[in-house]
Amino acid sequence: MKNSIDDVIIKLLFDRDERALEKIQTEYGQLIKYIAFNLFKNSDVAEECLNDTLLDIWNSIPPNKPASVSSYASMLARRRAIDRLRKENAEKRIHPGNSTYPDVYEELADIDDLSDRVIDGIELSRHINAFLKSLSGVNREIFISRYFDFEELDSIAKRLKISKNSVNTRLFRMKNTFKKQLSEGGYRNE
Amino acid sequence: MSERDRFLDAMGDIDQELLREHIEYKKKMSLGRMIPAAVSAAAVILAVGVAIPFLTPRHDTIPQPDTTDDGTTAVEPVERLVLYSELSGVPAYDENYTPPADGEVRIGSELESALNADTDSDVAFALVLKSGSSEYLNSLSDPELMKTADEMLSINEERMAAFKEKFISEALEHLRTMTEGDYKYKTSGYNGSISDGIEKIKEKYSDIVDLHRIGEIDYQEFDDAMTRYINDIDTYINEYKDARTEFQMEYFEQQGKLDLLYEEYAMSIRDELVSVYGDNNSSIYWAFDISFRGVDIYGTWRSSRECQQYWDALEKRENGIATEVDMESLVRSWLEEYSQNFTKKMRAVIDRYVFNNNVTHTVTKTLTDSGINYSFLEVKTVSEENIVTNDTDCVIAIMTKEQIESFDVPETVGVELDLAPYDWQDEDSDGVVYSLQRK
Repeated sequence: MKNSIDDVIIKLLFDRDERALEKIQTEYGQLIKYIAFNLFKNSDVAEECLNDTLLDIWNSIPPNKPASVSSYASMLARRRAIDRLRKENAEKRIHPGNSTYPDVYEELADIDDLSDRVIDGIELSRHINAFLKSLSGVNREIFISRYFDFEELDSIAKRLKISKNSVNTRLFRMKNTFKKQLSEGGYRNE
Repeated sequence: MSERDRFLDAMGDIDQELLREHIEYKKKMSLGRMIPAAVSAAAVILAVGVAIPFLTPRHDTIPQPDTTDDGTTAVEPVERLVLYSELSGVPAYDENYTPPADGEVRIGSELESALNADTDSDVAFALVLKSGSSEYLNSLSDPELMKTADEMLSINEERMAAFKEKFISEALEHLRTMTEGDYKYKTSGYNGSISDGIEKIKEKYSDIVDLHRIGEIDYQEFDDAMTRYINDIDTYINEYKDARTEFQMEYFEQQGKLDLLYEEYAMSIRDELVSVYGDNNSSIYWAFDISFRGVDIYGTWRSSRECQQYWDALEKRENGIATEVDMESLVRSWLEEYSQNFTKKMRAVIDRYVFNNNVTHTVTKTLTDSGINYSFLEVKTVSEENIVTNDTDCVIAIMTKEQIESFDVPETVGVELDLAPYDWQDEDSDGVVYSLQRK
């Protein structure tokens, strides 16, 4: 079902038909706003991120032709939201109140000892993908929900019907495993 | 840019297929959390005018039938099947609805498509049988439909037993590690209270005080000894703390692993059930949820009973009263008990929700296979006036035998289910409580 909707959207975009944006908004608007909302806890900003993302989609398809519009839109939305958050943080323009970002950022403090001299962003993505594929379905869901969606721990726990403690424990273990894997590959500072 | 910034950026470029699966999964899970409320209501297949007197919702969403002067409910001599749902987002009456050509009509999928509809109105929907359904109603007494949840679950017995064995075996492995950690701690010299250790050091230096008092050693020697004494105390305290922390870390690490094992075990059962009943059957997730929380996995392991048993056994083992085999036997017994409780509770919930839902599926499939049309009505339009039409001439009620017998309504056809073990009370996700009581 979604594939055919995605096909329609892609075709409209390639035809430069603006109805594509309406369809994206209808089908994936909530999804796009979801990530921005997690980061800003502000509906207006989430709405602006949605508009920015729609513009990004319009500007990048074509030439890009993603296999999944939902994934593609999520990635663009997330990038937009994080860029905006960093910019506004740098300008000290916002204080993200109950945003999940500071918690996630703090959680990842021990990631800082990864060496940027040895491993570049693309390589890091490759490792993350390999790592994600090695995880069980539930663990992968937790990892992506937390570090891609910036979903709150309580929310993840409730959705997956496990305790918050378990989510924490699993994340802790997964991060350790990930670092260990990088370390074994010689990518970590010693 | 810090490494964690780079990590977060790299997370943004994860494999699109993984991300798509995640989005789909999330959607399904959130749907799964919404659907059970509907499934629970859908499992209560009630007849307006017959069963509604037993349905006492503590809210005013579900329409109530008119009552007569003497307080009894007026029963219309009609046949009809009504499913109520308390979902937000269920679409209003769809006059264009037609059953799928493949005949696979499932309430779950109906709700699923309904949930995808872009509406936020609070509506219920009613499944109303039209005329000409009597002969099919007779088929509802087919023994095939009377299968118990036990029978339905029996196909999983062997595989579930394998899961259980694997779970117990892995749990024992971790418990052994815990035991070893405990043993190491207790034999490390730091297992007593911290003041005991300090007393021992004091004793060691007590002679120095006496020797100094009687003039056997000079002040410099005494001062050096006291400096060593203070250093020893400091060292002891630090080592004690380190040892205790190390033990606690190891202990909680192992305990955490055990918690995760419980969870994995519970999830393996859920996945197994999903593999049998189908991924679209959200009742499984709900049943799992209820069972999982009901057993209170975390509370179980950390409950005083198991902990006390475990520590008692350790004590006995150290005193030579119990052996390693006794330890295992104890642990196995309460793990067995845990898993049985879990399965039992899970089964009870499945019995109630999945099985009844399955009957609902069967009913609707029977109807569809037989070409009987039915339609959905918006709750606002569900009333005596518009349900009771010339086209509807029977009542279908799924209730206990006793409940059916309590009615003297010859037009009523009942599908007998053994609901006796359950109190037949529901609470949906919004906290709305339904209860079915004897008149």
